[in-house]
Amino acid sequence: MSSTSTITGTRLGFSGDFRRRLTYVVTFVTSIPVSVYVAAFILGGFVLAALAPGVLRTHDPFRTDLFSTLQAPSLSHIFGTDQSGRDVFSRVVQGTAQSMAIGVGATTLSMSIALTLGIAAGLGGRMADSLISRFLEVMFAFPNLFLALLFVTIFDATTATLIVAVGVGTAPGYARMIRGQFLAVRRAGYVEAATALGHSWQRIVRQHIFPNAMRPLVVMITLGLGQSIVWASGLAFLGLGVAPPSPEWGALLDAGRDYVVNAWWLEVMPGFAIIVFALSVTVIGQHLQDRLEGRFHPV
Amino acid sequence: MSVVTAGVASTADRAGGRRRVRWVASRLLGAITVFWATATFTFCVQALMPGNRAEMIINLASGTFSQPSAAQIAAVNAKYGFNDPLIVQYSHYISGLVSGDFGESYQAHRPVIDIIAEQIWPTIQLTLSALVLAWVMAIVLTLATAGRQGRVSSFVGALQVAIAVSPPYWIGTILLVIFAVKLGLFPVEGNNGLPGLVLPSLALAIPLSGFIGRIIREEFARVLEQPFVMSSRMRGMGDFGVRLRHVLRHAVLPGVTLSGWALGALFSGAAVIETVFARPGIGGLLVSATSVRDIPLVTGIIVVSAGMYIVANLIVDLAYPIIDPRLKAA
Amino acid sequence: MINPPLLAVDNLRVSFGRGNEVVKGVSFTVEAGRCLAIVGESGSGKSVTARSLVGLAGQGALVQADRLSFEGRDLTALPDREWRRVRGRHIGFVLQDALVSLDQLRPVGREIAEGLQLHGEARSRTERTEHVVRLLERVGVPEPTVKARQLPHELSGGQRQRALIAASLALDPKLLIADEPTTALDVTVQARILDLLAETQARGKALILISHNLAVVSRMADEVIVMRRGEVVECGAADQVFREPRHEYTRRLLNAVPSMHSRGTRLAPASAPRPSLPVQPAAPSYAENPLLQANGLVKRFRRPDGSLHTAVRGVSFSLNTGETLGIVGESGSGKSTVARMVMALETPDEGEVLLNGAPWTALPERQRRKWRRGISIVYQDPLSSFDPRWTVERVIEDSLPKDEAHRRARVTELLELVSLSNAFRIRRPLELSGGQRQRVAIARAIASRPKVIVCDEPVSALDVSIQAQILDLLGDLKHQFGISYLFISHDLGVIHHLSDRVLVMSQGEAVESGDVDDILLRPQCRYTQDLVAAVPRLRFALAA
Repeated sequence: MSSTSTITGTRLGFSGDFRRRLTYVVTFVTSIPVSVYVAAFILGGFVLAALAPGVLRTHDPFRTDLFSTLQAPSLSHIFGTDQSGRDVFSRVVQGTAQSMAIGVGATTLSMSIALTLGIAAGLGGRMADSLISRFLEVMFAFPNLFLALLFVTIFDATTATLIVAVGVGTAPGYARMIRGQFLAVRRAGYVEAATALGHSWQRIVRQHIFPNAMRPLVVMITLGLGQSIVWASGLAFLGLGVAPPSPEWGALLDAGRDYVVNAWWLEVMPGFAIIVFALSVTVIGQHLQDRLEGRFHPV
Repeated sequence: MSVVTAGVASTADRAGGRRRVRWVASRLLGAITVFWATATFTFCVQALMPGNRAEMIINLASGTFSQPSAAQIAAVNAKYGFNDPLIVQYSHYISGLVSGDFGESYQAHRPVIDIIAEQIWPTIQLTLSALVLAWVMAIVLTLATAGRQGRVSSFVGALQVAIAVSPPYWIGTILLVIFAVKLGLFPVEGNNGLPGLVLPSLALAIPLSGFIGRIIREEFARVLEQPFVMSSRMRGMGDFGVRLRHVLRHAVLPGVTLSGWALGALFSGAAVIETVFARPGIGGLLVSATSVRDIPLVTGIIVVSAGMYIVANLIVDLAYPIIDPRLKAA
Repeated sequence: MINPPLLAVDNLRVSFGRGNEVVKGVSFTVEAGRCLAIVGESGSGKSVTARSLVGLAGQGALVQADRLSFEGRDLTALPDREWRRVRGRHIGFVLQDALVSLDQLRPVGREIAEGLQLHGEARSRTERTEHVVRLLERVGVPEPTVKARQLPHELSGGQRQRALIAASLALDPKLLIADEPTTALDVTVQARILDLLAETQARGKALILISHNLAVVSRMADEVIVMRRGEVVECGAADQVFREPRHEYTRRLLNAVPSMHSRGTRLAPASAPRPSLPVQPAAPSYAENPLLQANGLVKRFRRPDGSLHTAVRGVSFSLNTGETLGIVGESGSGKSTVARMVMALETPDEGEVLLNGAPWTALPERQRRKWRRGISIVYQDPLSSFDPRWTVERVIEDSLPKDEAHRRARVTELLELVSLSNAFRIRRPLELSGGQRQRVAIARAIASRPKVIVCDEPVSALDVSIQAQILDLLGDLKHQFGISYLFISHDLGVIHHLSDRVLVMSQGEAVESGDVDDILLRPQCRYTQDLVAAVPRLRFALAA
């Protein structure tokens, strides 16, 4: 008797569960705004351009054609051509991988520094906190780009320097956010409740503080990725980035600077690529953040 | 509400005044400490420079890449004190800063402080006008659309996100091509007058207004839901009146705390914009100094701009109670 | 011809979007000098009803009515411009919680003057200032000239609420609507605000009072409307509604109010039969060592400006096995700080707490941990005490002792004990209602089989009927497991209903303690007398 009821119970439970899950998935999928899907689609395009540029490019990005130099955007060259007759769109596609590598590298470095400082300040006690906070305050006094320029002056202008400059320049902002997260979570009611249950500090840190304080990390990484590519392109625009023959986005901007009066597309089109990329990661990051902060309830 | 019983107020005022003096003094001391630390940090970074500095200076001065003689190198080393222990160099550097001596440019052979003094005014003009423009644009758009439903409002919201991620050089280029090259309304480059200031300020202000706009817009929508807004409407205040007289002041607060940060962003942007529009200014100066590795000039500009950031933050700190009177009373 | 009533409402319906009707046909009239009360729990539509009367039901609201008229003037199709002339001038509105209902960045006087300015009264600045001072004087704010220049947070809670009332009275409207005007206030302050409203009514104003508090309503109202889920379940003269409620829901609400009369009875009708688990009856035993003993607790805090504030000044008490000790006091009395010290979440600056006769607060945290399962806590706001990522199952499982076997079965058993079905296992805190959250919090508190549970305002944030269920549950658990409660509340009714003994706190000091009936029926100390006198009581005894 009891065993039968258990079995039917389980079966009912399973089918009910399945339906519940299905409706959950459906409401989840339809609850995401269209803008997020568009952003994800565009981001997919960028990833494709980085991994397999051959699929997207329309011309050989390195082949010069002296009969069609500096042509405005048209159907055959949608982003126009440069001073050597190379197809700008194909060059933008070709440069995606390197630009992304710079962005990812700078974000990784920046997050590593930020996590180290932020966690040390957030969990390390009052001394560590006030020392690190002071240090961050000092770092904030330097305009981001100026700090990066200082690095470029002291060390050679290479891709590595560019990554370090952007990574170090953007780290303090994230470090402060992470520190704030840890301090907020430490004061949370559930941390006190766990203390009252008699759990050890290590267990509370492992079970509650870490996972909760780290929740916005994904958001920070997405937003940071867009930011660091924009910053790196700014440096490259000033001629302090990767050397020109490479079609990295910043290098394209730098090369186009001399022709801006006659051929605006050399400057506008690569910049457009950067903005579209930054915008799509921002849209996704913002959406994730809204979700995290509970401003967005899918069910 | 001009009537106040003078006797009650004065003792409280005196105690409050003393607390306020102490508060201002502590802020001032904090600012000086941060400035000293930024100078120290800059010194440490430039001390890390690899390679032979004397050799570099000689090459820079002659414009060639040759192998200078040992005597030449020794002379340069003696002049700049490169052979001294780091601690001696550091104390020279700091005592120089205190007396306003930022060293001598490797390239121009003139005091760094003079070069900066010549170029700083256009940059201040540019950044301040951009800051004002950015705030005006952000406030107007927020007042008109924040917390409303409908297409215009969501379009403005999306636009603010988009311009916030747009780099100033890109916006600058577009403005330059359209308004200066195609339409010929403004000069293409240089020109220190007012027409020459319009496009560069706009190029700097647009991304910043997107950034500020996003922050105050979110806060605006939040404050609009507060009971005191309802309370005011129950007294007969209209929708726009509530926005202008009650909500705006609350919504602006988080934007103001970020003004110091915004100034840093503006300096960064100025470096790029001054290059795009070939404007004089310390930003463009820094970029050219960087490309020739004129270290005293680079560190000088960075220390000065950090100092300006610190002063600006101090001003924001001290002026903040005017917008948020709760701090004055506390 | 008979004069039209001051306000007449017929078949008022409000909906937000299609099919989401929150007010489903409300009708009433209000005459000058009378008080109409609308009572209901959260979600009853009482606030939306009130706001519709001034044309501010909210964004996206569709308001329809067969009739909505003020002094015979039709308001149903009024354009917003015209509405603005009605608000403030003809109908005044007082919201709850004046701290957030006044603009924090402006002096109180300017808020009050705002209405005058908008409606073109008192044109010159000095005229306005005088008017504001007169108004503040009238509502009983001391030093009106000084207070008018201060910011809301510099005033006390009661003064703020008075200032808010002054603002709504600025243009001498004929009708005043007050939406939960005393909800966030201490009882003594509440009593004075109700006096002020009654006085206003006596001067010939009509009053519409929105409240969840039946006792407040019974004190003020001439007519009562009881609302539930957008519908009027009962209406009539206050006298009749409270004495002979016709509707089952009204009767349930009235029965749910805890007081000295409800001691030893259930407040809510038992829904499902509770599982009969092995009962461990334990009568209060006073012979041995007290279970919990606090000796001369003192706690000081540093204020932001550096000065010291003594939150608790030498509080002592003891709690015996199977007993409930109530700690009652107004806000700022230090009662929650006592709770935190008892839980050893805050270290007392002087004095100590003994648990089972052994040192407790004096122990280092490392040694205390293994004893912590003997004492648990239930907070006022359970939501913040749950990790938002965790399911109910994990929350409860986490609080089981390490050596507990059959953990899943034990979680089921605990859920059953607090009358939650197994389906709640997979829910997260945000997906629970307030009452359900408090049940989970109680399940967590009893999971470690504690001897003592500290309850810090556990029912203050709940609706009356949910509060009744939670109080019943706490009573059941006490009988079943012989748990002792240290029960902290500002509500004398709740304390009287539940406690065996009571400790009254004021400004950090224990002013009086003893048997609950002795203290609350025959208070000796002046403070307790004032407190007891200020509590609004149901004016009409319910006919049996």
